[in-house]
Amino acid sequence: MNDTPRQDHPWWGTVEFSEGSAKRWEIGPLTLWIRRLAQEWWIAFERDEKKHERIMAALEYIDPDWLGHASLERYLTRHAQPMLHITPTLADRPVVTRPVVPLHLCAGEEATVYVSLPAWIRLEAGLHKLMLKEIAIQRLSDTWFGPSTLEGELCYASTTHCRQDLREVPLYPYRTITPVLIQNRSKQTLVLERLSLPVHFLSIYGSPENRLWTSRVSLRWEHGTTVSMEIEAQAPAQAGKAQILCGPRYEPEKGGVIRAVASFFG
Amino acid sequence: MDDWWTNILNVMSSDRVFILLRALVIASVGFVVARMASAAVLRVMGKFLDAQQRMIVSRVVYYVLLGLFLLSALHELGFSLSILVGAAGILSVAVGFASQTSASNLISGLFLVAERPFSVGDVITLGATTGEVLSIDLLSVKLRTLDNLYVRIPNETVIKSEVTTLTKFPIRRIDLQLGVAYKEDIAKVRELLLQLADKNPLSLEEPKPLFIFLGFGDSAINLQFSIWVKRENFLDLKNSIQEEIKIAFEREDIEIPFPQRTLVAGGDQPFAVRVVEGREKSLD
Repeated sequence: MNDTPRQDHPWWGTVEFSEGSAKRWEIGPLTLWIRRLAQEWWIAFERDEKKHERIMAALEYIDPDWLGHASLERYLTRHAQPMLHITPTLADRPVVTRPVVPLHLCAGEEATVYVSLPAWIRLEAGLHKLMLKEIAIQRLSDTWFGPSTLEGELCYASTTHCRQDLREVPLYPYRTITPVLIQNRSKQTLVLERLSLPVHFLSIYGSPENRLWTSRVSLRWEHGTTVSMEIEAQAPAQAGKAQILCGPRYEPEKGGVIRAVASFFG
Repeated sequence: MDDWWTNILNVMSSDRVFILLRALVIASVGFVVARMASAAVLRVMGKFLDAQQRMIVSRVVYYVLLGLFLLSALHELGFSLSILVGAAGILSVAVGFASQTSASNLISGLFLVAERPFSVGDVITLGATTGEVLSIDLLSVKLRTLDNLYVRIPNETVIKSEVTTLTKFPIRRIDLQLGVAYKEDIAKVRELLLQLADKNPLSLEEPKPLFIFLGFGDSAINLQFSIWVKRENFLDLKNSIQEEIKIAFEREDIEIPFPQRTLVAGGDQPFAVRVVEGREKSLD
């Protein structure tokens, strides 16, 4: 099932730029061009949503027509240091994933499903990691998650197959895998039509096979519309000896904690 | 000449000049202190308040302090405060009759501040005017329209009229009115529109797009397609989705008809037509 090409080198990490040089990345749908000048960085990108399996990192790039890139941006600094840090990160808003087929979790049961989400790229320059830009590798559609149009929050929308067998999850190089443990402690069947993942509380880990994982999320439903959520503060067991690549955008409450989330399931 | 100079000296050395100077100093100090106090209060409390609350707090502090200093200055000049208050009472009745409109605006302004249907920084539509609220003052609301004009609307008008606040909620709906030819397959049109909304990342997935069959029009089947969008992306989506609909309709040969008229001659005979120099021309 997993026919994705093996990824020998990670696309993230630190890249050295000599002055005036430019490099190109192709990470899934995203093509990224970066150029370093004496006192500035040039960044341009475009997306082709049909391409998912591309993975080419830090290729030398010579393009006389930089100004032809519609998305070109210049970042001015006092002195552009040669190092550029490329870090995978997660979206800046929660992601609402909709199972392709609604899931029914029987009373008293629990299941672990794997949710795959596209990562973002964070670009930082120099020793002090001067923040340049964050780019979504795949632009997800906006959506609203809440009981009404008055209450709720803006999120990104995604669909998931909620696979239970990890071997069946397509491991695209730009997507992260989040193990989600769902526990139904009630006496009713839990119908899961939408699942809001608070990705801004999750960390990203890189496995030895250069795959991206996020912290494991546990959801427990006992009754009513309230679901308690717990985020593990370590790499999921399935990721093996994974190293943390990027911490959460916002720290969840202490100790990984249990947070009551109303209307967690749509 | 000497008498005149003596008089001046007498006046200058009299107590009255000192009293007047003292009153002037109190009033001037009042202006400065009120301004400084208002700025200081804003610095301390500013981060806890929104733009409108900041404006109200700063004005209240400023005018209360200034009023106290001016009263004190008047007292220094020998005005009795009880007489002043009595005079103010009589004066207010007279002024009230003379300035009913202003008084009405003033009271409306107080209600507006209390009710808070919108705040400074919101975008509102009132009648034919849409603009960003610059300030909510005692007599009027000031707007900056989208084409950068300064509009002053009396508070009374605001209280009496229907006001729409465009920036109250984070998401809003775009209602597109469409017409397609009678020959078109409505199910296909609906499917195409839903696909376009799904592909456009600015269109919210939830709440779901709405497709309404409005009715049978004179020249077309009238449809409404409503999509939800993040407030800030309203114009971007409105432009992009309509462009995409036009392109998709042309690609799929879905006709957007122009207004049509069917002319009936009234009898059994059709209109007679003859061709003149290659062009058709009616005989009538």
